[in-house]
Amino acid sequence: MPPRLAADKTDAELVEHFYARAARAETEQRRRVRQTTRVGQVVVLLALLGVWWAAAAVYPPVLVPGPAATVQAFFDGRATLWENTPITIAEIVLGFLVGSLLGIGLGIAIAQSRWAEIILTPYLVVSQAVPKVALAPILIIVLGYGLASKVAVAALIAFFPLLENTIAGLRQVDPDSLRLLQSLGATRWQIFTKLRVFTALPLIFAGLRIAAVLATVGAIVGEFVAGNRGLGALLVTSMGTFSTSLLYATMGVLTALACGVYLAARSGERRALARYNLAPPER
Amino acid sequence: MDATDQVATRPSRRGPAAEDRAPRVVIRCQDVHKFYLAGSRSVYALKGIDLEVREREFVSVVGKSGCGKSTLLHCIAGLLPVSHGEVAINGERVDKPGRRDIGLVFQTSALLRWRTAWDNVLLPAEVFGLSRAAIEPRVRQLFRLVELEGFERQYPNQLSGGMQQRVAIARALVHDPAVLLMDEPFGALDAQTRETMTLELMRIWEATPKTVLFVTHDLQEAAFLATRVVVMSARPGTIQAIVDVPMPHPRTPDLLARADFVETVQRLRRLLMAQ
Repeated sequence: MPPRLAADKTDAELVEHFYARAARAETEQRRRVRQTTRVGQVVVLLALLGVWWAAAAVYPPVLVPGPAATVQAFFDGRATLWENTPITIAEIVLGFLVGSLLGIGLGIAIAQSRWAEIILTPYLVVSQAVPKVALAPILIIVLGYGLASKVAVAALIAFFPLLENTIAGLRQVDPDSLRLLQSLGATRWQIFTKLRVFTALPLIFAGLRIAAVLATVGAIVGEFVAGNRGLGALLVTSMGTFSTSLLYATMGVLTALACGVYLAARSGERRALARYNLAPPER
Repeated sequence: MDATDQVATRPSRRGPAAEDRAPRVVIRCQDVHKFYLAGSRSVYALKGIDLEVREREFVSVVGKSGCGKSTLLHCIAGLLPVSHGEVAINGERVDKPGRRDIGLVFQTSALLRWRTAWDNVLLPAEVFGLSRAAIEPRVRQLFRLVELEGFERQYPNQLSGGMQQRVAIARALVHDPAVLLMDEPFGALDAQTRETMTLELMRIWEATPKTVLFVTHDLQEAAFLATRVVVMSARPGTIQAIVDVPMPHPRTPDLLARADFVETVQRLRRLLMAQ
């Protein structure tokens, strides 16, 4: 039994005593968690590379090139990759912008009117179910083989999550906040700008995050179907010419691109929500 | 004969004078009925409500849950249309929301979480299109009144439940409405905070007397605050009794132990239990 603490110390001294100990323990705990996490993640990475390497050892390089061959292909093909990447980036960015602006705009328009929503509901449900990538050939027939058709495919896929989330966000208003504004005689416009826009923001930003990823998918699908340029087209040509290691390297670039797009969207979301002290939507 | 004359004339002289002195009616409900369909069931929420609330009166409305007390308040605020009868505030018929002479407080604070406490209090002024500069001295004064000085820049989620309701009260007062309608404003607070807030509200009301209609299911709270307590019975919601609470102001916690106050609360309880 240790000696009684409180007897000869002031409260401030006791706080200092416990604080130092608690802070030390917490730092140590955090360090240990971080370390274990890192080690675990490296182990998983090595395991994945091991699987890849093992597969490459079993299959001939033309079917499964190993990690080393892929890195080699990345360097050998860097001119081709460098040439095609900006095209794909442009398609993603333009498709994302066009699709999300249209989705938000139409969502706002529909949310203004009960009738519009009731009448359009079956069409919105069907449009959810339609496999959007299947529309790529139709769009390409209309818009040709240039940039516009890929932007259109990317925009079309990015459009729907924003349409849906904008409508849902504008509708999910706290009833008492709404009553308060109504009791003050607020106009529809005031209720929109002072209340609905803000309650919709978390869902709109969640929609933008999803749309960013989907725009990437859309751009690649567009290039698959009608590509002579861009990373998606490069995937198809590499496959056709059995340049499998270039195929892998292209895939790596696309993955990096998709990650970049996702992280950018997520950081934009976080910044905007923090700016307005909003919580992300519950899942 | 002189004496008899005087006796005879006195009441008639006092009559009009007394009427002049009696505060005017601010809220008037005449034969208010409210009936509505909620899905497959129908609700006869209010039946033949007659109620007059005079200027600077504090009237509490008590009743079991589902007795229509909140519905009555919503009808008076113009948020719900009445099915029959008439609600009037300051002599004007209420048929839609948007009066500038009422302030509303709900059970939830209904604060906008993307606005600071300060900007939340400013909201009514913004809706009315008043200039910020003109209203800010009053907002400052209200933060002092609800004892939240120093918390102006905090967001609602950084404030405790009691503090959020204080902000909501300040917001309800910012346009200096004649009428304050409060729908179980302390219903979501813990017992301790609730008691503090009741005392606070009394202090605020004594400082800035408004005509208040206060819905609650807490009988002691109702009686402590009110000059009159309306007891409602349910299905359909009718006024069962109106009980005067004549104890003088300012009211302090000592009142809670006074025999006549305890008797009043007991009477309210008996009325509700008799239903």
